[in-house]
Amino acid sequence: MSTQYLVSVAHRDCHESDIFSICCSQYGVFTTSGDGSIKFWTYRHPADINTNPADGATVAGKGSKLESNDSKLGYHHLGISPNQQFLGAASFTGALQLFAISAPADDTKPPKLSSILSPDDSPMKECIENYVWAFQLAEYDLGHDSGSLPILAVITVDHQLTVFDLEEGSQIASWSVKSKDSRKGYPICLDVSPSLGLVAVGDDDGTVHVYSLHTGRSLLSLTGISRKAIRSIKFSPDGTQIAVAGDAGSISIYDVKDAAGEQVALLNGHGSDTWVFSLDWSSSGDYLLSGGYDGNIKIWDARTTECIATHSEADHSSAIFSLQWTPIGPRRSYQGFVAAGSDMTLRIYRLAGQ
Amino acid sequence: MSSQLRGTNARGQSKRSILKRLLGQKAYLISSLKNSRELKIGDYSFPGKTESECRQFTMLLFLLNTAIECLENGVTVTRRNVYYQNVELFRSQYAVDLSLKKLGEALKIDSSLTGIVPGSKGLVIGALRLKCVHPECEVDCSEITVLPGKPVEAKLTADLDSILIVEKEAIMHSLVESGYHQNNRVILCGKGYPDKATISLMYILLHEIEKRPRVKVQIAVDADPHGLDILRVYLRCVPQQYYNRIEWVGSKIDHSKASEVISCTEGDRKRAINVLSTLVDNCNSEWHNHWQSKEWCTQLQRNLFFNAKREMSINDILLGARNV
Repeated sequence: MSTQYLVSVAHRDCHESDIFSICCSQYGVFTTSGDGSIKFWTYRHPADINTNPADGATVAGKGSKLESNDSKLGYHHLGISPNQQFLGAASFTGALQLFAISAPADDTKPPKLSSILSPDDSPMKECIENYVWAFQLAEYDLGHDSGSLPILAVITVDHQLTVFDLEEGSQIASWSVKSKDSRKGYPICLDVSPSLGLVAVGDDDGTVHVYSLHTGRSLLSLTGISRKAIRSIKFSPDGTQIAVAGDAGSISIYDVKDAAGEQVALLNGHGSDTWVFSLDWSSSGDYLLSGGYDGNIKIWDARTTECIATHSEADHSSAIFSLQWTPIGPRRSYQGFVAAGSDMTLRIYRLAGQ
Repeated sequence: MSSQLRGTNARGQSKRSILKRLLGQKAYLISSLKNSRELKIGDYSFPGKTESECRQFTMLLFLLNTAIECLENGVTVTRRNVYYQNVELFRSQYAVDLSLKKLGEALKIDSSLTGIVPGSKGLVIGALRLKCVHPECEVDCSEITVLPGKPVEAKLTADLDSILIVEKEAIMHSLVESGYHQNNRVILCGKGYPDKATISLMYILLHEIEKRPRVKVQIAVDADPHGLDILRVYLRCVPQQYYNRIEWVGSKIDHSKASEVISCTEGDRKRAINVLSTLVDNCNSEWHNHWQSKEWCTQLQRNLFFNAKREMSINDILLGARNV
């Protein structure tokens, strides 16, 4: 790949403690942290910073703190709906807060968030106010030209994977994610493949579970050799493959088409004792982004399994907790990716020459 | 034995007078047995109307015998030990504590002078001598010493560089083996949550170092929700003027220790949320402003976010101490 990425801007001290999660939208990037706030940052180099953008300016965090009900215990997961209308934030209390996003008037302003309440007495309300660990907002393709249904998939502290109809608050499917030894295991991460109607869960005991929304059944259960915790799990954009990473340091890609469950690639590059916290496929499915405990960000060619770039702008004693490609959508004006973690710095990378 | 019996309490009871009363009760029971009369200890009788009354009497009898043995031989036994001597009878530690109180009330004696003592857990080593009142004694702490009771005075017998409080006994032993305590350091160990005697000694030592601003009190606990809660218990007992003398030297979850962690349990996760809530609820109080509470919250959040915890190692302390 002849393309190169550079740090466009590094916002230092964006939050008062670990940045556990970032979430890219078509407007800009949302960040959240153990400090309990949600902030917004534009992709573009802020015009009021008087440095040559090519140098990759480091600036004191100039994001916008969004008006929301701050979580006293801090947030650990963020997610946005594919239609860019809803944002979710999960806090350490076990509550998931949902917000409606109002688009900003222009590119220089942040979007507005307003709290939305789940339908009263719905199964979703009971669940998301108390027991959420990680979640994903997605669209479930109903097929046969019936359009798609906005859904919320959550994994809970009591080892359940539940999928809700986001608007009705009703339950579409629910599975118990338990190890044979019920004292062990804890579901850490999940992902939804809208096209194939699959939900995947990565567990602390090293197991990957894949469930089908179409049949309501468990489709696959993949047990890694290492039995080490799985911290990130991502379906490829076409839904046929799944990338899995965690404490083993390597990234495995499995074929999930026709419930094959075959490992098709193993990407080695992060150290074997590096925890990989975050993965993201590029929208074409050609490249995979990964970041972890060693502070390194790697870009992989998914076809050749080669690591084509390593970014180590973060200090090696700090971890990358969350990273994501900027989305390609109707308002696309920026190509790159965003990463953040324990050094409390948000780094926005752009395609060289852009 | 006479010196062991000298201690008296507020009611003017001495160990000697208590032993006399206990022996009197024993003789009364024996004569009751011989004359086929109902056995009684205060209002408790044998055989009672129910199984639980019967068990209650047996517990009192067991404690009566244990107390006589202790006082006659001039030794003490911990309540914990008594429980382990007959787990089937007592079923819980609480039953021992409660029955001892009942025995005291029934015989009108001070149960704290029976030789059956609350288990002291605290350990200390360093160049100091401790004075206690219950039991009355003065001990030299140049070897690892179990706190005999709540200390009332600590005399430093040499210069002092630092005071280290560790959560775990095993770590204390490793540190002593490495000679850590020989460099004018005092090590205090609460074996988990500290008891009153350990807290008292920390308090006395803080007072002792008031005029030596160089001397710090370092606290080392596991990088898990349990350890971080123990840290909270110690800090809760530190008077405000000493906050700047306290340092938390670990352990922490950080990047170089990724291979040393283990998964959290359900209980760990619940406790982490509880401790985090307690810290956040206190965020406006004095100690929160003075202390490394932000880092503390971050560690608890990482316990949850990583679903991982780590036990402290001796290296955390040796490296942490060097950085100071």
